[in-house]
Amino acid sequence: MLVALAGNPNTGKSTVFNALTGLKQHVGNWPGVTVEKKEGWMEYNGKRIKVVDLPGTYSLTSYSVEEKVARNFIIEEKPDVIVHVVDASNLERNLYLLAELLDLHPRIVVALNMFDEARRKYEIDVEKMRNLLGLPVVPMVAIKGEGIEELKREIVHGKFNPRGVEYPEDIEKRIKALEEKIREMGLEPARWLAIKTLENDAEVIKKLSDIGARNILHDAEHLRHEIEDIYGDDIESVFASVRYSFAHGLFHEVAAPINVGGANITDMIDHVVTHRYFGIPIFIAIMYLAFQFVFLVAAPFQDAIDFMFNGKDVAGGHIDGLIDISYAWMSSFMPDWLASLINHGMLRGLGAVLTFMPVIMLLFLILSFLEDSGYLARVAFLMDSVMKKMGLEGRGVIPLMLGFGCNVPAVMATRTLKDENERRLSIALNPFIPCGARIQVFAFLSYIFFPENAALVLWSLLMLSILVVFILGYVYSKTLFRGESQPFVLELPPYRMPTMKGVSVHMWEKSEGFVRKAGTIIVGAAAIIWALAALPWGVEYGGEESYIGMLASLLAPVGYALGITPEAIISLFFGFFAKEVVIDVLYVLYGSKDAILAAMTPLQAYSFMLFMLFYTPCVATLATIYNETKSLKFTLFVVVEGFIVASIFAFAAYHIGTLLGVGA
Amino acid sequence: MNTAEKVRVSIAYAVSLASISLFVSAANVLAWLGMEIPRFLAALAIISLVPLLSDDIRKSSKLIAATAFFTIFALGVSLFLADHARIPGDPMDSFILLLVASLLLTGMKNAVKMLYSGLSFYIVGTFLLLAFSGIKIIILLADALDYYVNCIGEVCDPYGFALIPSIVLFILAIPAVYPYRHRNEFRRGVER
Repeated sequence: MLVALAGNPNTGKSTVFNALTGLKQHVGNWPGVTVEKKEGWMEYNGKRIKVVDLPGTYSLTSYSVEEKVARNFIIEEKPDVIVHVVDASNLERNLYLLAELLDLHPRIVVALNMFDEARRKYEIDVEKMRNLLGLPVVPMVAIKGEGIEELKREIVHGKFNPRGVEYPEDIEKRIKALEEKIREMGLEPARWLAIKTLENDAEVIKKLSDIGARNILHDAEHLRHEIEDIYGDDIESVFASVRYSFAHGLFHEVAAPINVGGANITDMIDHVVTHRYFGIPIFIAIMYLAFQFVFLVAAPFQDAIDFMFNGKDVAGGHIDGLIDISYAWMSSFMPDWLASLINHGMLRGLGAVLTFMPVIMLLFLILSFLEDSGYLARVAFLMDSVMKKMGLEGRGVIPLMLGFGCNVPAVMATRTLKDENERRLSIALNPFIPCGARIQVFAFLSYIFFPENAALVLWSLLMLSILVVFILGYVYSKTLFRGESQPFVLELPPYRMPTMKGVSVHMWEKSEGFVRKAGTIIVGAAAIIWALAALPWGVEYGGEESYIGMLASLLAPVGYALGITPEAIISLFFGFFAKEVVIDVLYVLYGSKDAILAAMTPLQAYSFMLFMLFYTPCVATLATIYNETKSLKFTLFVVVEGFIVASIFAFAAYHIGTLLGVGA
Repeated sequence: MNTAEKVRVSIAYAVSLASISLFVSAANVLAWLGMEIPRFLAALAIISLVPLLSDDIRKSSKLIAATAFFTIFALGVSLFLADHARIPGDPMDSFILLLVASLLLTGMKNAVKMLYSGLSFYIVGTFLLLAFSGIKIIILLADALDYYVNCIGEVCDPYGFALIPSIVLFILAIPAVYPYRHRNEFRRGVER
């Protein structure tokens, strides 16, 4: 068995080496360089184990002889175990090397040396560190011989299930692309070589060049420029920043500093934004401001797009929009039904998609800004314990909060969740969060039916949705979406001012997918809804004799059981297309606000709102769910769970209210 | 005045900013409840005197005078806002301004002692106020744009721009970033 000792200079590596090997050592030079090489032998339970003390290094780049010697030994000699000797009193700085080692070797024992000194600076949760890293971690004071026996035991019997650095998605996919090509050439360790090639590591590039891997070098250069463009920084700084984030995040997770504050801005801001009392209020304030920014700044652009497509009614008549103009033009040379399908079905669907665009783009603009600035990582850190209760990690709070704005980007934002099981759980819960459009409908109906208590009614609906999300999250995480939640290090990157280019690239990468993928499905679905509302040919569009009207009549008994009128059921059908439409449909069907008031009792209205709160999400959200999960079964599950929950609440509210004589 | 004294003046100024934020916060709640905003609410400016509780402020007559001046300043700004500003009546705005005031007041105690732990709260409080008021100004501009978009094809009056408290708060928050520029003069404090 071969063991290598790695670590920063002055971490007590030689002391650990001496304590492990005693007098059985040999001192010489590494071949070709004047760097001291120490080898020795240790014995454990009759096993003779060779121990090699690698030169002390701060990283594994190829800039110094020591770094080259250390990494070449690991690659060429393939030690069975690496003992990473860490100066625990300077934990965060030492963890950078660990981040690099984890890219290179899976079997690492972390020796937290100088643990006595470390305890004067911070309290270290060793068990948590073991869980997060999936590696043996041994606290020790080598100079006093403390922890040496445990270290030996872990070297021989330790369990290794390493969880290394998680690179951001846009870097990870480029590493993977290169890794695959390197592996095809039979080179190992492929992942490390891919990372180092992307990092522009001179020695690795020379090695690949020597064996004629020109294609790989060409691809790497292209991918490197892409990463540099996205992050607006040179490649080495980008990779170093990810490793520092890992080190900073791990340090924050496992060490509670006794001294507070610090000279650098990241420490100072972290002191407040992850504060026990101020952390969550600050998060709520920032998210609220972000939402206000997105929805209020998007409004003029949405109105302009809506006007462009649909025109508008003005005092002097109607200004035609694109749909009207195009319909009139097409009707002149094609059958009316075809012109209507293209314009009232598909073009209207396209208009609806484009109306979403300002919200989507601004939402991702602000999310990218918060992410690139480093704040979102702190949110995940802050909410971790709360979200764990419902089977999600800390980052899961972001998609849920986004759901209050619009479920489409919220479902897309679940991509930040690393665990596929958690991601699906988050997607399954998201439609229960009422989006801005649904809230608009609730505000409208609350104002009509409960003029004195409109705010209270609206608040009760929002609270109920949060309660349902928490209960279902808890139940689902124990049943349908049960899984082993893998602990992982929440990276905490240093705060920085995001670059305009980086934020724009991130925003565009996320938004264009929505237009391209959801767009096609929405336009298709719009055509189907049009057909249901327009056929059989000649009937009133969306009237009782249309297929949609017939379906509503068919479902009327169910509606009555839930206290919902047939007209309201028709509006729910159209709400499937876009929730805002529900108000328009109610107006069209009833004719006026007074007629709506006369047609339903307050109890029926509340029951209707409860049903709308939980029933199927809109077609855009469903299209996005399908795109994100690539599972028709899962998408149907979301529809079915929505109808079940909606029916239970509407039925219960209506019948309990009737029994109690409330709101008749 | 040395840098430490200038920083302390700036902190006294920020406390007056906290008192103005508290005034706007309370006024927002009253507006939300549909009530008139009483002029005596401006008396919240008395909070600007809080720095006088600190020995580091009391030991300098200049700092005492600055604190007194900022208290009168806060009173004047609050009265001006009560008379001339359009208070939006948004309870969440109230919450955020209350949070800003809490952060600035929490940071004050250690910031006047030139400790990082105080500066931390101070920096986050000031930046949050700048972000809050900056976003509100952008929203005001977007609202104006929306008004004109909805006016297409109709005869509309020019958009009625009104003074909102955020415009005043944004301008007042800019000088408060001064201690941040001198963060290297602060030192580490030990807390347990």
